[in-house]
Amino acid sequence: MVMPHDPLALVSSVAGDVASAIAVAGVTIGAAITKTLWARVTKLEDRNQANIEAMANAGHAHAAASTQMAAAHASAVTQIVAAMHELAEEVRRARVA
Amino acid sequence: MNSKMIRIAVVATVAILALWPVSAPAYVLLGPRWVESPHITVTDSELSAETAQAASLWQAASGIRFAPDNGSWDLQIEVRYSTSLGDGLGGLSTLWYGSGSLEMRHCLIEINPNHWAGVVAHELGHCIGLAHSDVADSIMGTTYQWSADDAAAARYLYGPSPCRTYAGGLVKEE
Repeated sequence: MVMPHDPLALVSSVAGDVASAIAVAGVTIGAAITKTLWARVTKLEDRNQANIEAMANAGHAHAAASTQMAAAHASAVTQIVAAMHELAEEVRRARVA
Repeated sequence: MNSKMIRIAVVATVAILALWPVSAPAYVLLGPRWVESPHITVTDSELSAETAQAASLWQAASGIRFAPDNGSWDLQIEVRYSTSLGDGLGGLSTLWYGSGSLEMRHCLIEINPNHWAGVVAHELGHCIGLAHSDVADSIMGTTYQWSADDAAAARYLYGPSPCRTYAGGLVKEE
């Protein structure tokens, strides 16, 4: 560092050095913040991806369960219809000893 | 032989033939019958052996087939004790059947705890569609003794048994 004889120039030089230091520090801090934020974003994206996959799996499971329920429902309806056909015929009772 | 004797002989022959007893089945049917093998549920376990023996009688004689209890609510025969029957009543069968199809749906056999031998077989006979037989010495008659009349009645409703009885008494399902 060149020490100027002019006091104003000295102040100006010190101010320039401080500004440079601040700028370097700012860039460094900014880079660190950016890195941290980027890591966080990446992490969030991974988590989102996991959530999306989990939701997709849940959706598939729900669809499968719905299919099974639909089949069970159809079966129950068939049984009810059969029972109604049976009821269509009057049932008689006889007692013998 | 003159014509008068011939005429008398003809009239006598016709009269004998007309009055000769024709061998008709003596058993009597109730009307309804099972179209599928009914399940037997024995509510009182003390009746299990007697019910199984009665079922085997009817199965050996005819094509009727009983299935063990499978928890199904339909096509079921239930056998249980009843203390409300009078002293002179060994058992009582209540049948439910379709009025048009005459298809047996359900049968409840109530047995007097003080019943005598053959009552379960008799009531099971009702449950497969037999009424009281005119043959006294039969399960469906008054003595509750197994007879050819019982077998003929069951075979009339369910056809012959797919079993063959061997000399040793073993019965093999074919």
